[in-house]
Amino acid sequence: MAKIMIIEDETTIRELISEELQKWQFETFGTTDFNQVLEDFQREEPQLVLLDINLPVFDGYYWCQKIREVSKIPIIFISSRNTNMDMIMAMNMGADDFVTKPFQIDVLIAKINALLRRSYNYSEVGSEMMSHNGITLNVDNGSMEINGEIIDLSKNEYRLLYILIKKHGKILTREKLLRALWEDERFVDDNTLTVNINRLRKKIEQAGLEGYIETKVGQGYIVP
Amino acid sequence: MTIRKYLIDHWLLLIGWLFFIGVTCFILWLSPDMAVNFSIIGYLVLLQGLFLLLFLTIDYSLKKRWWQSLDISEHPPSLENYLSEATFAEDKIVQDYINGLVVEHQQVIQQAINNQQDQKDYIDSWVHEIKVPLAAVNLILQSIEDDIPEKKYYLVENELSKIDEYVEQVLYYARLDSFSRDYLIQEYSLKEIVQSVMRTQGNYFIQKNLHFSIEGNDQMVLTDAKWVSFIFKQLVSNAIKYTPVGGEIEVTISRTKEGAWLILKDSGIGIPEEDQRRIFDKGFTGENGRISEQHSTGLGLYLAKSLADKLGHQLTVESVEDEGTTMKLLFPFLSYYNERR
Repeated sequence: MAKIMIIEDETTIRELISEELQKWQFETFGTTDFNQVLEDFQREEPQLVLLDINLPVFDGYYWCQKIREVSKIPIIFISSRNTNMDMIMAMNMGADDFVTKPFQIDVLIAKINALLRRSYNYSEVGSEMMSHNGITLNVDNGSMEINGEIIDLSKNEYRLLYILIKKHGKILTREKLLRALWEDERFVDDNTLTVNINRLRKKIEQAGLEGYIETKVGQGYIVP
Repeated sequence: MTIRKYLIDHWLLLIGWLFFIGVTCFILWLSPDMAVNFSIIGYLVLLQGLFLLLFLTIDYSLKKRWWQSLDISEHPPSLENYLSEATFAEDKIVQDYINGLVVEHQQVIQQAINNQQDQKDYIDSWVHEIKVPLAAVNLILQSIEDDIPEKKYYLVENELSKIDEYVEQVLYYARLDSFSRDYLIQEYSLKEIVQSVMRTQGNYFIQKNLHFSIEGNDQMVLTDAKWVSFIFKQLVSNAIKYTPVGGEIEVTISRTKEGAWLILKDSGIGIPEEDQRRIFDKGFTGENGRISEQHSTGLGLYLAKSLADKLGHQLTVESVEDEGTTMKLLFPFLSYYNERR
């Protein structure tokens, strides 16, 4: 799995990011000696670098330049600085993306995945599969496979199924599902959610799986 | 200084001159061995009168430059220039005193500017400092999402995003003056800007069960995405605040010959007519700000309006009480400016 180096002087943030990334099967390395960033980098040979701007000793721009002198590795800046100047500086120094604090971990993971996929053509990074109870969800192209049959899903249906399977065994409230859809820029209301759930159920039933998504009246939905 | 005023100012001199003439004539008249001749006295008065006139003319013309340099109607008083036209000791005293005031004033102003800059720098760095723990709390919250009750999770999430919004507001307020140093005008898609703002406001829409829709074709506009996002966020956040549960918020993107329009319409409580003129004033909270349970700082719309002006966009409001408010943001085309000129 890809190794990610985190150059961030706030211990809490460094450890939290590292923890989250490990949940996503990434290997992580967090620098603690900010004099030796480049040495650490060369020893650890990561596939991607997360870099803060405000660091002790030298700032993130400096290290970004230093890393760029020896490597073309993807670099994502994570900083609380958010002026246009900072972003332009970062991009000019050779960064690939810029995430401002505070950020959603999902957004960071998505950016990391996209960058890794683009930079390395890793098939194992990209086509992630999620399987549960007879449905295999292809995270890459948003389709599902039931009994060997590949079924296309709309974006909303995919998001719903994704979160239902990811949190299987838990009741997901309508609010939570709405939020999951909302985050993807699709402005859905309550009715749309019902319609989408029903469509999704129909697709799954047509492929031969009965009662995959259960309704808990007054609470929400669950994939057992 | 007109000649009349000059003569009035020198009344003592004129009276003194008349007195001397009088004394001279009197002594001449008293002298026993002198034949008092009226023509001699007339000649004396005339001659002395001419000398007096000459003296006054020279005095007036010498001081004229000094007075001109003080003339308010010609150049309004300024604290940037020093006085330098004084030639007489009396004027120099005044000149030194005024120049002293100017120096003092400049020092005080400079100190005020420095203090203000210090404060701004401090706010800037404070905002960045506070964002680090804020980011940490956000990450912690996301990592314990499944361990705590959903309702509580949303509550904390809401409060965090409120903190974040207020912090942003402080930052933008502090940067209002230094705006010219931090903008990047490019062509942006209005729809994308709207969507990116809406994504951050999703939880409020879901909680209040507000219906949202975007109408109209996307338009490309010349603007700065960050600032205009901030403006739009203020408008949306107001619309959410003042629209009751189950209400409707609609964004319309359109285009007229003046420019591209971004129109935000809500079905909220509206703004009383007497308040409408003042909602963009700094610190104005109005009736709505007071009666609703929302905290109103009176800063959001002020910032939105000021930034819109700086970007060359026009922000206007239309509202009918109890029916809703429509906020319109116009991105004028360049040709619009040409026509107006």
